[in-house]
Amino acid sequence: MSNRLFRIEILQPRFDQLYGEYLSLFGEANTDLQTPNERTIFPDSLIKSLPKDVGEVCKEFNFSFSNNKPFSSMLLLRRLLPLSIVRKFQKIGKEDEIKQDDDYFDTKQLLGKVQIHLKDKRIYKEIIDYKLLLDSSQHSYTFNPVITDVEGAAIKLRVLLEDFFVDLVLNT
Amino acid sequence: MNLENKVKKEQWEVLQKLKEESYRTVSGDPIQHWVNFDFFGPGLSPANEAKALEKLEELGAIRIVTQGWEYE
Repeated sequence: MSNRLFRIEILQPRFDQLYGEYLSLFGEANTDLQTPNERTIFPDSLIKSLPKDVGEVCKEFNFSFSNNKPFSSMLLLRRLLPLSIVRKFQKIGKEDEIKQDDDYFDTKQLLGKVQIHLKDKRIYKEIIDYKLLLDSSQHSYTFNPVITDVEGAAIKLRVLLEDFFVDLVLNT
Repeated sequence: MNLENKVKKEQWEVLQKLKEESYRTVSGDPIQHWVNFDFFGPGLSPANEAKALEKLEELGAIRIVTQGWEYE
């Protein structure tokens, strides 16, 4: 790694004068200094119902998302999808169904296998649509995700996790 | 955005970083500002960040006291 260290003296009043001039031109918006948004996608109530490692990825995602980091958020979602499917199959005691020669299937095959275990089958279709977006964030050098892309994909994954791990209890 | 404003925006980004760092630095000490030349990605490139610093010095807003490389 190579870093260049500059030791800098700020010269007043010129520094503040220039700062004010540029502030009026461009405003405070800066990608490095964005105000964290207050929203998170995966609520604590859901995280409590998840396998520990899946919950940890969700917490890390919430942190990235609330700090407006679309790249890291997308990559965490990409990790979350296969991990949650594997944990689901382990939970229902059918791990052998998603393995071949002791290796787990890839994400696309995992999604195909999990279809029949979903309470709501529409979720499969929606996740497949977003899988392209998740894959592009890692493999495409022309695609730059923005935070709204992340939000859409994350909400679909939240629905998937709820379908997988939250048991509906009806109070009668 | 015209070319002049594009370059000014790069200087604005650096000015904000320096302002933030000045709050962390003991009064009277020079600010330490690192530029990572291994970084490639969206946003301000390291080469343009270094040029922005030199331009801000020319504009009289800062003085670069020393600069040097560190390799890992």
